[in-house]
Amino acid sequence: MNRFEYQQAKLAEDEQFVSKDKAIKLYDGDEKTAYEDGEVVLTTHRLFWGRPGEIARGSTTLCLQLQYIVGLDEEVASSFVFGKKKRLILNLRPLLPGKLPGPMENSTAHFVKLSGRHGLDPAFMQAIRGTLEARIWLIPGDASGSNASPSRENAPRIQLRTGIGGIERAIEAKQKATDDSIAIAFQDLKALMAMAQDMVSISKSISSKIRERKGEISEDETVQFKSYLMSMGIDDPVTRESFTSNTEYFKSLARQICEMILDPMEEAGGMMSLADVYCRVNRARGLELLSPEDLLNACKFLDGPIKLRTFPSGAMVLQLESQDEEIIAKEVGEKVEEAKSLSVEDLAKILGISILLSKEHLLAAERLGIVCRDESIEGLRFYPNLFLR
Amino acid sequence: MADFDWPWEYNFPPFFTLQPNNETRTRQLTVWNNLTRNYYKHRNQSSLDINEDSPLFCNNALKRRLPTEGRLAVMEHLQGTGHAAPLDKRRTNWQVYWHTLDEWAKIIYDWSQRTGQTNSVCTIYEISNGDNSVGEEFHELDQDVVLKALKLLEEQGKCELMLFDDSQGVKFF
Amino acid sequence: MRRRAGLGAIQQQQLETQKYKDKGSLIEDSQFVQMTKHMEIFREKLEEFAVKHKQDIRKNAQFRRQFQEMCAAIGVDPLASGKGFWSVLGMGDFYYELGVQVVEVCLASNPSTGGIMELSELRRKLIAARGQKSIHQEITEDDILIAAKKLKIFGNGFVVYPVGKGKYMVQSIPGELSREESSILGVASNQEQGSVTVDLLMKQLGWTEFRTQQAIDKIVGEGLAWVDCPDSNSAPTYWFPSLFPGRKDT
Repeated sequence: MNRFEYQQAKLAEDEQFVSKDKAIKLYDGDEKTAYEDGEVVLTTHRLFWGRPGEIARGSTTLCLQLQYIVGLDEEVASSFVFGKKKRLILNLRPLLPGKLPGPMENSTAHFVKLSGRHGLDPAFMQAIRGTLEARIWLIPGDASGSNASPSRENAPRIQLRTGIGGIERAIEAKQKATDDSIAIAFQDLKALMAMAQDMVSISKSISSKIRERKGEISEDETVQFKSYLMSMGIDDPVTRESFTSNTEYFKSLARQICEMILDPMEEAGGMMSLADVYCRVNRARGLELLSPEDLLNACKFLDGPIKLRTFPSGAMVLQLESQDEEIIAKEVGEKVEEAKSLSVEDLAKILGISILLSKEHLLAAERLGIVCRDESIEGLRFYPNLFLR
Repeated sequence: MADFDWPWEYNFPPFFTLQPNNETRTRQLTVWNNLTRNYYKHRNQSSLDINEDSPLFCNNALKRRLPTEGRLAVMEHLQGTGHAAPLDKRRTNWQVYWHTLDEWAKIIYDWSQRTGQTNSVCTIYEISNGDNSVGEEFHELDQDVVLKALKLLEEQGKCELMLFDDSQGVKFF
Repeated sequence: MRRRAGLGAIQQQQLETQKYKDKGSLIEDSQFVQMTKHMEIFREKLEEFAVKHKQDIRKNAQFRRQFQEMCAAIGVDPLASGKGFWSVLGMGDFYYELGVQVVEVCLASNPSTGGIMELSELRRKLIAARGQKSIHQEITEDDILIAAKKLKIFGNGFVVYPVGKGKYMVQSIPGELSREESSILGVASNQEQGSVTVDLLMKQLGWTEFRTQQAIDKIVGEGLAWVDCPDSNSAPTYWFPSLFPGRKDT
């Protein structure tokens, strides 16, 4: 990006307007810059970039002399929402002496990219190609107002003679090399997957034999096998049985989790959702994070004072063993009666607990017949269950 | 006067319908509360008439206006947070305090201490419009609000209100 | 640590001995031995692959996606365990951390969105939360979908609904949306302002007025949509803050 100069957005004497586009972002090499959502104006000699309105007002904006552009490329950026958009790559020659001050003087990139929020206007892209073709070998003596013109002796003649074609070929070759390396990666990936596929098939057949109890596979082997399945990430009914060689690992994880979570849990009212536990534990670990499955498996081994609990709604929490559902439900019932009626949010505020837990407490109280619900457009509210009194 | 920075909700059409859902209404009124305070602070005004169609309650570009029932709900919410008080029994005229009266009392008292006005007397007018108060938040504040804040200070024993000729004055302790 | 899931030489020997001791069919045993050998070879190949291509996985979102698709096709989940074979590729920490951030971002936004967010918006927020440093490699919507899918096992919220035209909504409140509700959400997400009327819903979904009104009332009742009633003569419009283009989060 250090080829750009700060110049006033005004046409010089023999300069003419060619084309323009908007919502353009500039990239310094592959890196995004702060120059986004701007307008570009192409003249016969220069390319201007300015924030909306600046160019029209003739303010000082970013300006690239077209003589710096040695070649054009396109790349396709794939966006999930907007589909494929084309970006224009401007390959640039090295700095010429006498370049006026401009942005990003320390940039080391040899190209810049133009990217449009909805892709570049094809007319603009056409215009820039045409303009470059018409002018690119006319290096010194143009009327663009800068002193950055090399003398004839210093002009990169070899590039001149090979012209755009040669440069583009060189760039193509570089692109191909990158593509090749990704192609190799994909080839290796395919080979790897073919191997993995074989193992999945073998393991399926072994697994069905275990289940049908055919053949003599020893206890040790079975344990090993389950552990292999888990390591591969193969989901199989066999792995859901509790005893595997990973048991020790999960038991020790369970102890760690217990230590980490006990205090915060008491503060949060004696219950914490697994999603919450997942976040806390992984934030504390920093590295070698646990997968959600690892956490769940470990929690299954919890032995008190915290236990894993699944509610009818499917929500999974860790809960202090000492919490008695009946006692909590009674307390909730009292609060509801005091207030005449409560919503989930109301109770959460009163008890200082999360919305999730508040909802589960109210649902539990409802199951025990202590409160009953009223659902309307106003929201879900709970009332003392006068039907059962 | 610089342009007022409207929150995004001001251009959200349902913002001008009092929401039936309790949770949503709470969120809605909280935004109205902040908006009203900021709007009045921006204009340095304190009086609000519910029946008046100001840009606050009427977004003409959006073709939406908050109906009277909604406006009353907003004012009552402000009253709940100490940022407004009704001026009449019918609750159509209100006074808006973008700082609560407690906060104003403290701000004015701190100023009086800072500017060495302990044990000296000044008029209400001098407080709100005097050279001494230029640059202070309460400069050009509605004098009635200043008076109310001073009354609080008086209750706290930090000043004494007095009447001379026909202007209100105050002595800070 | 490597040895945890593998067989050492001694164990291998024991297995061989076991084979001759058992009266059972040699076929089953040799199949197990075969698999064990394959596992070892596979693990070596995996490590080679990791050394060669770890960077590609980190930098190239398309590669990551291809990888995940191929794994899914053959029935393996490379993210099932932080200690599994696949952990050598280093993807685990990337996705598990992304999972943590999805939880945190969703919970922080719930007060203003009501618990539903467009996937594209979630992505923007995650990128903002992660910072601009280049070590935070670009996350795609696919990456988020993968991380969010893993969160499902916790049983509450973090469900992703496709709403047509390549868009997804991420729900992060407990309780699943009914099919009615997610259908309405689908229609709303395709409206420019994210708003619908009963008439529009009836036309697009082919429902009766009763069914439509019930469903939309339920949605309002859950705090997911606001009602817009400019005058008492016309029917109300229903707006979803999570779909409103002008919405800004504080």
